[in-house]
Amino acid sequence: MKPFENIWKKIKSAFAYYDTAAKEKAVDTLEYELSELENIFGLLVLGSFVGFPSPPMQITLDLMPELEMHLIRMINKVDTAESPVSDLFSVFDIG
Amino acid sequence: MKEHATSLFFLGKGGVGKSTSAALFAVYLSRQGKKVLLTSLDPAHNQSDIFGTGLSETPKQITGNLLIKEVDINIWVEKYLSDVQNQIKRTYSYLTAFNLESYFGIIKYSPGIEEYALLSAYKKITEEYAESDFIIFDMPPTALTLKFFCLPKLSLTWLNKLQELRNEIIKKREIITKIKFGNREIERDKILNKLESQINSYRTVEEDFRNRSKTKINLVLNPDKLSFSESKLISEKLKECGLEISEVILNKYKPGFSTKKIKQNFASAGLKLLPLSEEELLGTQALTNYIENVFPR
Repeated sequence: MKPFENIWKKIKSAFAYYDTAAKEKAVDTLEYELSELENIFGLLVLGSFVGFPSPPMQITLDLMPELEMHLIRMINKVDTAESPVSDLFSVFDIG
Repeated sequence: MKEHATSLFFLGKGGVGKSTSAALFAVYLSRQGKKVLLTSLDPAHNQSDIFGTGLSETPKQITGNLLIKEVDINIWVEKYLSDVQNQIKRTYSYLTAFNLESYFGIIKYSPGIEEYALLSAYKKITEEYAESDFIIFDMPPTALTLKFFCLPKLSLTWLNKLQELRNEIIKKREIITKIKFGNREIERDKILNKLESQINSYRTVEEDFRNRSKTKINLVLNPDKLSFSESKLISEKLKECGLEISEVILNKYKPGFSTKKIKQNFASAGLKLLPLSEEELLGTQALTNYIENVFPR
């Protein structure tokens, strides 16, 4: 029975591997979407920092203590802002 | 114990006598045995000149039932900004907080901060003096007053949109967590909490402003064309924010002046006449004499 068990284990681990890989791939795209949504949220709330129309200042100020990551993301986004297509290609692993 | 005080706002074009009308109503109501707090939200602070006494943030007792205080907007702005700055210092890494230091120096000059400081002062005062019968607000010039009244509506428009986007983000994050970790419970979003608490706070203020038993907006004008035109504009702008004038107060009224046009244009509001005084209305005694002449008991 042992050889069968070993084969069965290997088949299971191969499926588990593909399952993890598929999940990772699906999650990668969703995480990119999430990061873009967070970036939009950051731009809407912190718009006054970069000259965008922004909500009344007290809304921004009230939320600011929770928005450190948004601020950092917004500043980092400046690096890829001029080449959005290459940013997108890297998400879909093209090229 | 009383549930809430009635807020009486006095607004109108500069120089029509908002402060004097507010002072007269405060003295009149206190003489009726009502507990009154007269608050000046106008940075010009005329109440200290009208009552001939120094006033500050700490209420001063003028008569048994009448307290007066002057709100210093700068104190409210400074306090608010330092609270936010301290919160940021607690939650941010040192470097990010350090980079924001200089930004906070100029934030106090940002548009919107003044009216927010006024709104915060209004909320604090109405909570603290809920046991009074009346809280009378002597309002700042028209532009700032309109921004003050429209701030809840404007803020709610933004907050509702931000809440929608935040919910979308949370939904997406839940999907990712589910794929990665199964049905693990995720921490409640702090940003959504803050948005909801702001929404609740502005909704309460908006409802209070619209509740005519809690809030009465008194529009002061003179029998002249300029103040009449600006009063019409104020009324229209308030309507856009869902608010109505409760009373029109015609100050410096001279017998013989026709009030027909005012009644036509402010049909849903009541009309009160304050005749032109022969003597300057300065000091509690002068105000009391005027009231005794105009509204004898």
